[in-house]
Amino acid sequence: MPARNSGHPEAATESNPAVLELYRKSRAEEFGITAGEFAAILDDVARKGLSVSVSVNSPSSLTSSSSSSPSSSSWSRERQEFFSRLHVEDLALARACAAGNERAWQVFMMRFREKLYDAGRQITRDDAAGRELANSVYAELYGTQTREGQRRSKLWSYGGRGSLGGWLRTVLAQEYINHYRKQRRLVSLDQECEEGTQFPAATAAAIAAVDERLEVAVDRALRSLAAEDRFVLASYFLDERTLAQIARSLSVHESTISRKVEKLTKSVRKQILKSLIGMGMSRREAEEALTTDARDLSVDIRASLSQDSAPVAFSNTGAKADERGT
Amino acid sequence: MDAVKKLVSGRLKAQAAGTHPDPELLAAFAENSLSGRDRDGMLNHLSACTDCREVLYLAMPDTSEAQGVLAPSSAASSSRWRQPRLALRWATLAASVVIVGSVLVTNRGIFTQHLRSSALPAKDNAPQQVAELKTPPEVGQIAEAPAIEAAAKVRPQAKHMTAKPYASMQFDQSGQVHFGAPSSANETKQSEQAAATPTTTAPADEAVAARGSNAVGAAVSKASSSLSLSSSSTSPSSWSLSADGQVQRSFDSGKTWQIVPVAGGIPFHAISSIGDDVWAGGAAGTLYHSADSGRSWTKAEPVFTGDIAHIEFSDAQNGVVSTADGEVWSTSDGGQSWQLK
Repeated sequence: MPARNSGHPEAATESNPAVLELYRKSRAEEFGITAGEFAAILDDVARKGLSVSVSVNSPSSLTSSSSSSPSSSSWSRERQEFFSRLHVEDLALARACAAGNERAWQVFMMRFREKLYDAGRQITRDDAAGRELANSVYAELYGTQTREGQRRSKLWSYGGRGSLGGWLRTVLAQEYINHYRKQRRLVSLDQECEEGTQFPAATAAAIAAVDERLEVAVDRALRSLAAEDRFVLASYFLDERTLAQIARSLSVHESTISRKVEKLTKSVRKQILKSLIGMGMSRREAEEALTTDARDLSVDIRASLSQDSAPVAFSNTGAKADERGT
Repeated sequence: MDAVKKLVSGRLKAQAAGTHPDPELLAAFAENSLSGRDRDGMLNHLSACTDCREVLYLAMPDTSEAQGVLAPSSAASSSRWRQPRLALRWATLAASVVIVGSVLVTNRGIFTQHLRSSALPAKDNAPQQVAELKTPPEVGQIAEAPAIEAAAKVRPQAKHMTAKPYASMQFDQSGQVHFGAPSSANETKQSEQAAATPTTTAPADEAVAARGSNAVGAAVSKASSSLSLSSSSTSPSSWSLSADGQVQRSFDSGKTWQIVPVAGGIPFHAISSIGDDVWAGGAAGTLYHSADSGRSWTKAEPVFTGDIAHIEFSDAQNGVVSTADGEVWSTSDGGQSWQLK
């Protein structure tokens, strides 16, 4: 198998029990990947995952015992923890498929082919569209473009941090959103009008009328929240996801999210009121300000639009990074 | 609350999201396998990025509706779900006590009547007779029923075979097929009657394979479809594999699933259950067997070494295992020995 980023002597990995253990666990040998090539794959993944340009190829990199300084020891521990979380079996399979190993493709087909179609159906909620979506992703996985005479498979960008099944589902979902967005951009203005799409009117006057202090207070209240809390609020208020969906995404019970939403809403309201009063409003004025129509708030339209309709919303950043690293 | 909702939504929409993360990071986040720092970073992005949130929710499998909730992913999360579950257990216990108590109170008259009417001639061997008399006639009949049933059971294997077509089969949205025991007493009766008619044993996996609608061939389609096949004929629980190959069980016809820990969480490719016997197969001939509905598992040592693609047991003794290499192995002694077909 032509390993990428190889050039690492096999003897070095054989002297490293941690690498060998991961190699054994990954069953990469079945797909013709040598221990040296596997170490090169780990190097590649660690470089991207840990965002530190230190080579994994040094034999001491996976063992803290051979590290002398405390910083390198902690780095080694971090790396060990990183590697222990990797789905090495999936990683070996993906890299072997990307390299064109037939046996790997057989295993991949057996494990994921139907799952890919099922996921496509679930995402699009349509049998034909789901199949089309899965086929388009499947083509990318196989590699439709060539670079320097070699096929470029999307599977190169998989680094084993999540399961291969989960990664495939995410790639499908991204592809679906990109596809949907492309279609939406192609829809004519007349068609959108026929569909009943409403376009926002210019609100310059309204914006001017709203007290800026309210925006500042809301922003301040949101900034004081933990990231998870903001995620819950955004999912519940903005995306109108169900409590069950949010609970699943955070691996907690639905009732936990229910309590959290209630608590957060009260807390945010209290903080906004406090901020407004702190900025010179009376309690009554602050209460009245809270009833302001949200449409009157000056929303950063430009940021919102650039986020919603970027030409390539989900480019293959992993693959690009991968190419850069080659 | 509505006003706060509108205000918060408006300002959340205005946040700048930054660069989108890799799909594998999103997948890792959804699987709760990101470390603290990465998880915080991801949450920061997700809270500001509508697109990534949409991808996250779209990519979540429907099958594990309760899996993420029930699966103990970490010490922190386990403590969060343990308490409601504990409360549920206590509530169940309390309900049981109330039901038993109310039955005893309402039937107290019957017990005392029987005791009074036949207490006189029972003076000599009092303890034994009183015990018999305390049993109401209905209870006595129920106690006799198992004995009658045991006498009538002359074909124990046929029961397993013929119960299968009457088991309920459900397709969920991710394509997993779940077999459960007949839900009503009527259905159970039908399946018992069907014991005399072996013609009804249509192979369930053919129905599943029929879903794989195309391409690489029926064999691949059948094999891949059967990866998520689970069956249960006599046990009230259903078995299947989660998206990441973990063994999972449902007691409510597939509405909720619980992960059953087997062999340190190694991923499996195929599962089959018949009665209390459950078989789970994975890579390189890895085969685990439970004879007590998943309470304990033993590693079988089959002679084959290929990746197990499909398992089908017709009863506790007879079963077939197909590997990814195309080999088909059968056993007739509950997995003690295997023959290549």
